[in-house]
Amino acid sequence: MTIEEYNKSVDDHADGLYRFLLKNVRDAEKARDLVQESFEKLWTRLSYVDSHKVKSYLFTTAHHTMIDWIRKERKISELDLSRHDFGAETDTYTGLSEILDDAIKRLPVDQRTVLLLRDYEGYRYDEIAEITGLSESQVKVYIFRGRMFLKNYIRSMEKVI
Amino acid sequence: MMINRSNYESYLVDYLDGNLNPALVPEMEIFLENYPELRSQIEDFSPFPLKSSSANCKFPNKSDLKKSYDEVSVLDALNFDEFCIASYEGLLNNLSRQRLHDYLQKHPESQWDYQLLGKTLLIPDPSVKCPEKSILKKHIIKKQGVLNNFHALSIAASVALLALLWWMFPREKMQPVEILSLTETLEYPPSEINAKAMISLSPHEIMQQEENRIPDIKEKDARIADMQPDIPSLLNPVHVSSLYFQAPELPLITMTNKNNTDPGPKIMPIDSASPENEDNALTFILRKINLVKTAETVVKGFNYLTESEFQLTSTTNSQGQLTQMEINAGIFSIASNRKN
Repeated sequence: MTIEEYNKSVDDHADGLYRFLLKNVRDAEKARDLVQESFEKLWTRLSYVDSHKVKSYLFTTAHHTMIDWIRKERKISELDLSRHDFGAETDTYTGLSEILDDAIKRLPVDQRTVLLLRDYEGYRYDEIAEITGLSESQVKVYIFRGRMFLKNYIRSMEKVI
Repeated sequence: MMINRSNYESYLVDYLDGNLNPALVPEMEIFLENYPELRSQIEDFSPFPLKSSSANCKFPNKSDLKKSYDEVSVLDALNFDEFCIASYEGLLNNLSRQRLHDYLQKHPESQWDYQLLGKTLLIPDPSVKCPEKSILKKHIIKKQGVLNNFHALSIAASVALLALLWWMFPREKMQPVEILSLTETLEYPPSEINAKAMISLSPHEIMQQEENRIPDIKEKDARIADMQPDIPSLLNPVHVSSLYFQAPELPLITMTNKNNTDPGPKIMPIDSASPENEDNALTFILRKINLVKTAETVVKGFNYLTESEFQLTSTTNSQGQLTQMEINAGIFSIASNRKN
């Protein structure tokens, strides 16, 4: 991979990577740091990464770095706990996008990741499996569970509204 | 010699697996040379591809075991959600889609669930952009035997900037100036040239400076000669909250440390007398150059040579005349307002 290809990958993928990470970590500063870290890792592996696989490499690296960070910050337990108490919150919503945004936040990180990769980036199941280290079957199961969770959450909140 | 008849077996296993310490491999080969009867045993061990054969042992026609949605005999409330999600995921063929459609016709109460699942498709917000994307990019520094014009120009511009800064600061010890108060602006009259500069230090910094000073000038009318900024201290943002420069025929230049939350002093323009040192070549050159073009060249030169991302912003009035120029350099923001 050449430097020109590397710089093109910044143009092509930095925004998508940032959106993916932002939805996951919900911290703009951290999302930006993770994007930078992912590109730094790409830079150090420049001669080993095929330019056709750079997007997959970036998302794989970003996902792993993000998981490391979440574990370090002990966010997993917080997020897992938070999904059990969504009925108790009294947030007010003005539209579907806010409800959906809140619901995504409450998804377990694996389900959220595969849904974002599927919907935001249009990855195939096998590609998501490669990025996340899950099996293709697990990816499908997480997508199913994630959508069911979102559906039930929207339904419960629409009743509130 | 470590390998002998009594212990060779453990080494031999590693040797056959290719895991033997490379330092011991020659010793093992010598050992086998000495005991040819063992060599024949090795040949018996060789075709032991247990690992590879088990790895290659796969269930044939595994895909035949998999089922498609067509093969699901019943579409009911139990698997309705799964069919809906498969529909949105694009996994259903025409036949399965028709079955789902028929189900929805028969069970209109399920249509709401179907629509709800459609709302779970996440759509990225394209207005969310990665901030500071440009700093992710890398630049190629071309190594050339001979400097090209741009290189030469960049270096010249960089030197010009340093010279400009040097020229703006007095080259001799400053005249003593009284510290008005811990929060007041300190004014540095020039000595031989007509450029003047003011430096604002945050109260904390002034107190630090005071502590560092020798006792005999640690009084209210302390001399601040020792605090005279030079180029290195200018590059150290910790000690300065803001700098103001005024020089003949040059706009007022303000340099503010963005990391310092101290509001800083008011801008105090200083009148400058006509320069008398016309024979000063540097002064003469600086009078002739176009400050804006020089700044643009300097910024480009610095960015190119140092892979920096300095940003130059110019503002013009309705007549197209330059009114304000700012260089954003990370820690420092350098703004220059044109005098009317």
